[in-house]
Amino acid sequence: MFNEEIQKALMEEFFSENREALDRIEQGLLKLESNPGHKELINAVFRDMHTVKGNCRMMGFPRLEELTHKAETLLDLMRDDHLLMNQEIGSLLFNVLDQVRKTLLEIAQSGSEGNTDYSAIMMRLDQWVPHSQEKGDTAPPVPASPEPAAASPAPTPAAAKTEPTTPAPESPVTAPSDSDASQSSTPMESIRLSLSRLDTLMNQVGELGASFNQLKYVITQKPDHIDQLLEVHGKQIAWLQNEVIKYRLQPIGRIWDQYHRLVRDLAVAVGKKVVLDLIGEETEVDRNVLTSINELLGHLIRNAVDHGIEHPEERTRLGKSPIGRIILKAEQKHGQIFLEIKDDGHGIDPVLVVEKALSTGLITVQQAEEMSETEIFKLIMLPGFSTAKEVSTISGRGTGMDVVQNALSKMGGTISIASTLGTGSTFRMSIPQTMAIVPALLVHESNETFALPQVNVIELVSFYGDEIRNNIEGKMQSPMVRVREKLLPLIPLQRLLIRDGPRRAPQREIERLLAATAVHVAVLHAQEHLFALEVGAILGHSSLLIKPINRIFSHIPILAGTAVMPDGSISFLLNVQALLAGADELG
Amino acid sequence: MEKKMALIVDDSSLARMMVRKFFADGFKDWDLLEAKDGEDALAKAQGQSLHLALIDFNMPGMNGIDLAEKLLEKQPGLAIHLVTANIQERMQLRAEAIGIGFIKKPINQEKITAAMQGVAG
Repeated sequence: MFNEEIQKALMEEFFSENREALDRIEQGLLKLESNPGHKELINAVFRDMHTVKGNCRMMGFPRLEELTHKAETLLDLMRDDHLLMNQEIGSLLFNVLDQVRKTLLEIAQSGSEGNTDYSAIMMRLDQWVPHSQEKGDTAPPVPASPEPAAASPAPTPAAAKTEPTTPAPESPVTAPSDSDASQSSTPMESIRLSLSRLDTLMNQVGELGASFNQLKYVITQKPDHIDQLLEVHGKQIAWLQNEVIKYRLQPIGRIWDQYHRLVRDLAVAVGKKVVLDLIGEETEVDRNVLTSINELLGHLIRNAVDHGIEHPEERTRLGKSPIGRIILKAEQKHGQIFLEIKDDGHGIDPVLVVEKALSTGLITVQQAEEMSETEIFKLIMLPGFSTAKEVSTISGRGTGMDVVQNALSKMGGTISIASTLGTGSTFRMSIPQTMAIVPALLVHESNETFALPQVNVIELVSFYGDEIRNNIEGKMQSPMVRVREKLLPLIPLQRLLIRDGPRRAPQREIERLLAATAVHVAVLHAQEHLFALEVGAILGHSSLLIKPINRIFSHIPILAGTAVMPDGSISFLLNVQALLAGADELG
Repeated sequence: MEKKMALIVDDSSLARMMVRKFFADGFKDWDLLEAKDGEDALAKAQGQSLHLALIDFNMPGMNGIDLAEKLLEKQPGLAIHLVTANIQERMQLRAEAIGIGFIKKPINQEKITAAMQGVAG
C-alpha cells in the first residue's frame, strides 16, 4: 500500500517500538512476580502487550497478533482482579515474550512470520481464560461480581481472587455465568448455589430437625429444660433466615448495564450528548426489589435525558460542557439501599411547578404561598403531574413521576428531590434491602399493635410525672419534646390514625400530653428529618415477616406492610416517611 | 484553500507513523497534530481549531472516551472517532451517547476518508 521507502520506515518503527515494549513487559513481569497485586505495573504491562498486538495487526502478522492477543486477555483478567500473578503465569508470559522475540527476528530476516507452531503455548494461555472473558480492547474494570472462581476452568482456582474478605468459593449466589450484557437485562428466574453453601444449609436443616425432636422429648419428659432448647431453636431459625436472605441478594449492577443502552438510544434520538456514570454497582439488593428498582430508575433516567439535560448547543451557550452527565449511585447502609440519581441539566423550576399545580387544582393559592421548595418539588410526584413543556414521545405521554412514587410505595421506600435551576436535579431514594424479614420495633396505640422499621428508630424515651412538664412544650401550637437538649416535633401516633373522624385541636393535644402520667416516644429519622412519635406503649423488638399490604388498605400512605404476630393476629408496619408527611398535612 | 486540522492520539509510535503516512499520501489539504496520550493531546489541542480527532481507546492515563469528553467540552462540534479493534458493549454505548464514531482497527486510507465525510465545512 505504500512505496518501498515508507514501508521500510514503518518496519523499522515496528521493530524498535516492539523491542522497547517487550523489554518493558519483561521488566514489569519480573517486578510483578515479587509484587503480584501491583495495579500500575499490571496496567503498564497490559498496555505494552496491547501495543505489540496492535502493531502486529497493523503490519499484517496475524499469527503473532493472535498470540499476543491471548496474552493480553490474560493480563486483562489480572487487571480486573479476576486472576492473580503467580509463578506459573509468570513463566507462561515469559515464554510468550521469548516466542514473540524469536518470531520478530525471523520477520526481520525473512520478511515473513513463518509458521512456527504456537498451539501449545496458546492452549496454556486459554486455560486461564474463562470463555466468557474473551475480549479485546477493554474498559475500566467492572466492579468484581460475585462470580465464583470455581466457575472458571482455571487450573488452580485458589489463585483467582475476588474480595480479600470473602474468599471466592464463599460467594453465595451467581446469576448465569455467561456475562454477556444482554443476559443481565432478562429477569433472573434461577440462581446458582455452590455445593458447599448447599451442604452448609443441609447441615443446619438437619440440626434443626434434631433439635425439634429434642424439643418434643423435653416438652413431655423434662419441661424445665424447655427455655434452653427454645433458645437454641430460635438461633438456628434466625441463622437460616439470614442465610436464605443472602441467597436472594443480587448486585444492583446486573440491572444497570442496560442503562448504557437506554441513555445511548435516548441521546441519539433527541440529539443530545449524555454520559452516564455508575457508582456502587456491587451494592446487593433483594431480587424482588430489583425489578421494581429497575422500573423506577429507568423512568428517572429517561426523564433526566429527556427533560433534564439540555441540547448541546444550549449547554454551550450557557457555558456548560456540551456533554450532559447523569450519575447513578447506590449504597447500602443499615439494611437500607440508598439510590441517588443526579443530572447536571437545567433543573426543576419551582415557579413552573406551582403554576401547573395551581392550574390543575392540585393546590390552593394559600397552600402555594406556604410551601417550601422541597414541598414544591414533591408535587411532581402527584398523579398526572408533568412539567415537560411539550409532550415527548420518549418519556411517554401522561406517565409522570407518580409511576416512581407508586413503585417506591410498594417497596416501602421514600424519595426526596433537590434541584437548582440551571444546575440540575438530584433524586434521593431509600428502600429496604430486603422485603422479606424486617427487624422492627413493636408499639401499642389505640388498642392495636404497630411495627416500626428498626432502621428508622434512633432511640426510645419515656417521660414520667414532672419530666413531662419539663420536656414537652407547645411551640406555634405544635407539641415539641426535648430529647438530649434537642427540641423535636412530637407527633402523636393516635392523631395520625384518625382518618375521617374529628381530631383534637392542636392546643388540646398539648394539654392532653401535659396532663398525662407517662409519655412514651420513639425518636425516628425519615431521611434527614428527626422527630418523636408518641405511642401508647413500647412493646419491644422482633424480626417480622412482612407481606405486601392488602389492596383494601393500599391507599393509606402510613401503612407499609402487614406482619403476622406471634399470637396469630395481624399488625401493620408503618412507613416512617409517610408518618412525618401525614403530620405535616394535619398541621 | 485553508487547511483543515486533524488530531491523532495513539500511544503506539508505529500507529501514529502509519496515520502520518496516510495523511502525507492522500490528504494534502489537512494538517496533522500527533499526541501520544490524553494529556499530550489536550496540551497540543490547546488553542487549535480542530476538525477531526482519531483517538485510540486504550492508552496510558485517561482512556479514549474520557479524552473525547474533554475535547468536546472545548470544541463542541468536533468530529471524533475512536480507533479500536473491539470494544466492550458498554463502552461503545457510552461513546455513542456522546456522539462519537468508531473506526475499526487496523486503520487505512478508506476508513479515514469515510470519517472525513462527517466533518463540517
